[in-house]
Amino acid sequence: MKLFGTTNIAFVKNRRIFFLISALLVLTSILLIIFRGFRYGVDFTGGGLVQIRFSQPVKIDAVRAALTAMGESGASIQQTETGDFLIRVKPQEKTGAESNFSSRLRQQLAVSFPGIAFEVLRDEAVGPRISRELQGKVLIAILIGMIGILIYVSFRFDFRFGTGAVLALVHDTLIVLGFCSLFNKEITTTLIAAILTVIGYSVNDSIVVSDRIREDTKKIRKESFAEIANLAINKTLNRTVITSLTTLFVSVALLILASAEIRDFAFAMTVGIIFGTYSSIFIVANLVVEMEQRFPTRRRR
Amino acid sequence: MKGARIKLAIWLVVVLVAGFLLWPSFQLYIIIPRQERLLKERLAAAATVADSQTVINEINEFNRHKASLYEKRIIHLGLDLVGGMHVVLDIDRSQLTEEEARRAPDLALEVIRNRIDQFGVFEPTIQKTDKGRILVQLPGVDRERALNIIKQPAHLTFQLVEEKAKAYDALKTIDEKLQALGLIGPVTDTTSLSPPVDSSKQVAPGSLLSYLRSETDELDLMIAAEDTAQFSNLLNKGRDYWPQGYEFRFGPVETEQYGKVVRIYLLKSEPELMGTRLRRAEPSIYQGTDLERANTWVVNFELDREGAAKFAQITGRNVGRRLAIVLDGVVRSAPRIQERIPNGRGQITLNDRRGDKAKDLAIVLNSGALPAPVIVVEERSIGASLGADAIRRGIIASVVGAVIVVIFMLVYYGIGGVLADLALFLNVFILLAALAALRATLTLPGLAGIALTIGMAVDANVLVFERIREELQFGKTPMAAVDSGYQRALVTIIDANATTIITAIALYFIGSGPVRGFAITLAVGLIINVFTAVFLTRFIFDWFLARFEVKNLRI
Repeated sequence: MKLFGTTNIAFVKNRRIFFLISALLVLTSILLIIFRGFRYGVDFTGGGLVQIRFSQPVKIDAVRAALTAMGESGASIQQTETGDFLIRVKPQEKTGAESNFSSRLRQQLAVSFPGIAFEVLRDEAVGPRISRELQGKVLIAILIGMIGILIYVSFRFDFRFGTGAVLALVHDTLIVLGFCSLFNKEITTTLIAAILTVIGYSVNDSIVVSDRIREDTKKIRKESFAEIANLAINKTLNRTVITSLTTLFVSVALLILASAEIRDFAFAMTVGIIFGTYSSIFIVANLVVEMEQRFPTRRRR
Repeated sequence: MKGARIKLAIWLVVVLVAGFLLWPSFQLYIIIPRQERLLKERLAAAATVADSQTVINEINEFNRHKASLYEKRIIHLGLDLVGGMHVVLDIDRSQLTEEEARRAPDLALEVIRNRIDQFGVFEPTIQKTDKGRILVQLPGVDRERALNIIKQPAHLTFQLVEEKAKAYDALKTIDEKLQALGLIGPVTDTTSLSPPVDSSKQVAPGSLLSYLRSETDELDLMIAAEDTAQFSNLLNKGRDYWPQGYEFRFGPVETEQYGKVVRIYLLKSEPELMGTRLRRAEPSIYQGTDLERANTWVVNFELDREGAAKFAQITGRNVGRRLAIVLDGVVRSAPRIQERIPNGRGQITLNDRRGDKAKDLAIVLNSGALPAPVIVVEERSIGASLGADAIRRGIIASVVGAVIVVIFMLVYYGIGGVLADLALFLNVFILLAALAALRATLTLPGLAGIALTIGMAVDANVLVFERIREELQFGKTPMAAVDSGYQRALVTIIDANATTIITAIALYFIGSGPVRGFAITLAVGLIINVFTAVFLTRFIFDWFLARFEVKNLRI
C-alpha cells in the first residue's frame, strides 16, 4: 500500500505562495498573541486554585455567596463540564493568603452547605515569588532548547539548514501559541512542555528533509539545487506524512479521551504536529532554496 | 546466518532483564491491589473474632511484603496520578539571626521529617530544594491534617497568668487610650469590674470592653468566638498600652451553653519554662474529674530531668497562682497550681473526641519545634479520585491511540508492519523497564509522553521502510535493499531523534515534578526507540530474508 505514489509536486516553484500562507498564519498568530493574549494558569500568575466536587448539584450563585461570606468576593468561579467548581484567587503579595485559601474555603463550605458532602479534587497555590521564578525557568528552557537545536543542526548540516530549521520551528511555535490564544487555552507548565515537544518534533521533520537534500546534492550533480530540493521533498513526502499520521493518531486519541489537563497538552501537540508537518514539507527546504539563490555559495560544476 | 545466534541471545537477555526489572512494579500495581481487595473481603466476611484475627495477621504480613516492594527498583506513580499533597515550604527568616537563618533549613527539614515519619506515610519525599526551601510530597494523605502537622511551629511555653481583675483593668486602660486617640467612642464605664458585665449599658460601643460576654465565669474574661478577629485587631492597635512585661493571649474556641466563646488571658511575657525541655508526649483519654472533658482526648507530656527540676521550682514558688500552657501562642489551659509538682508531668487538654488531634499534637511535640514559622509558597495537591480518573482515562486514550497505530502499520506495510509493531511492543516494554530501573516517577504528562513515543516509535521504521521501498524500485535484491535502506536511514534517524532529546533536556530544566517526569520519559523513550528500530527490526529482517530466501520483497 502506498499513500502517495511517486510524486513530483512543484513545491519549490510555488514557494512564494507557501511563504505567503505562512506569513499570514504567523502574522495572525502574532496579532492574536499581542491583542488577545493568553489565559495564564496559576503556575505563572501566582495565586490559588481549588477544584471542588459536591455530592449533589449546587448552584454557582450559592458558591459565590459562600466566597463572599469569607471575604473572597474577588475569586473567580468556573464550572467544568463534569459539574466541578474551579475557584481561583489572586496572589497576595504580602500576606501569602493564597496558601491557606483552601483551608479557609473548606471551613466555609462546610458552614454554607450543611449536609452536602464535597471533595477537594485539586489544590494549587503558587506564591508570587515562585511564579516569577518559574517564568524565568521556562524562558531559559525555551532558549536552551532553541539554541541547542540551532547548534546541533548547524554542526551536523550547515548554517543555512540550521537557520531554515529554526525559522520553521519559530513558525510552528508561534502558530501553536496563536491557536492556544484563539481557543483560550490556559498556559500551564504542562502546556509549555507540549510546546517544547512540538519544537523538537518540528525539527525532527525538518531534518529528514534536509538530510535528503544533503545526500542528493552529493549524488546528483547535474541538476540545480532547487530541483534537487524539490525532488527530496517529494521523496520524503510519504515518510513525513505517515509519521505525522501515527503521532496524530495518538495525540488525537488523547485529545478526545484523556482528562482535562492532558487534553490541553494534546491540543497543543495536535496543532503542533499538523503545522510542523506543513512547515517541513512547504517551508524548510524552500527557505534553504531561497537563501541559496540569494546568497549562492554552493558552487557546483 | 553468522552471528544470528549471538544477536538472538542478546535480545533474549535484554527482554529477560527488562522482565526482571518490571516484575516488582508488576507485582505492586497489578497483583497487590487484587490481593488487597480479597483480604478486605475476607476480613468483612470473618464470622468469629479468631477468624478476623487470622486475617489481620495475614494483612500485617501482606503489608510488610508491600512495603518491601517499595525498597526495590519500581516505577513510582506521581502525585498527580495517585493523589496526595505536594507543598514547597519557605522559612520565615524575618525573626532569625544570620547564623540561625543559615541553620534553619536543615533544622526544619529534620523536624518535619521526624513528624512525617511518626505520622506514617508510604513513600514520603522530604528534601531541601533551591534557596533553602523544603519540598514535601506525601502520597494519599488527608491534606488538612498533614498540613497541620507540617506547619505547626510547636512552640510550647509555660507562662504565669494574671488574675481576671487585672486583665479587665488593663483592657479598660487600653480603651481609654484608644478613645483619646479617637479610634473608638467615649468610654462611659466608671465602675470597676462588676460581673456580670453588661455590655449594652456600661461601656462604649466598639470598645474592647464592649466585646466581653456578660456570662463570664469567675476565672476568665470571655468574648464571643465570632468577635475574635475584630477584638484582636483592636487589641493590637493598643499594643503600646499593654501593661509592661505582660501580653494578652487567647484560648481556643470553646462551646458553652450560650454559644462559642474564646477566653482572654493576661500572661507574663517572660516564659517560666520552654517546651524544648520536653522528654516525651503521648495522647490519651482524659481521666480527670471535669465532666465536660469526659471522653475527650488529651496529650500527656513529661519534661526531661532539667525541665522537671525547673518545673518543680516554679510550681513550688507559685502555689495558688495559675500557670498557662501556651502552644503556638494559644493558651491551651491555665490550671491553678495546687502544690509543687516534682515529676515534671503535665497535660494539654484539647477539644478532641476522635483522638486524631491529640495524636497529631503528640507527634508534633515529640519531634520538636520548628526553628521559625514556615509558609507554603507552592502547593499542588491532587485528590485521590481525580488522580484515579486521570489514570483511567489516560490509559484508555493511550491504548486506543496505540491500537490505531498498530493496525495502521499492519495495513500499510504488511510484513514490515508486523516487524514495526513488534518493535513497538518491545519498545514500550523496555521503556517501562528502564523507568523502573531509574526509579523514575510516572506522572500524567509522563503517561502522555509514553503515548507519544508510541506514535514516534514507528518513525524510525517508517524511515527505513520508505528507504527500502525506494531501493527496491531501483531494482535491488531484497537483501541489498534492506541493507542499504538501513544504512542510509540510520544517520537520519539519529539526527532526528537527537534534536527531540535536546528539547527533552531543556524541559528537564523547568524542573517542576510532572514536567520533569515527561522529559525523562520522552528522552528515555527516544533512545530506546533508536535501538529497537535499528537493531531489532534489522536483525529480524535479515533473519527473515535468509530463512525464507525471499526473492520478492513487498513492503
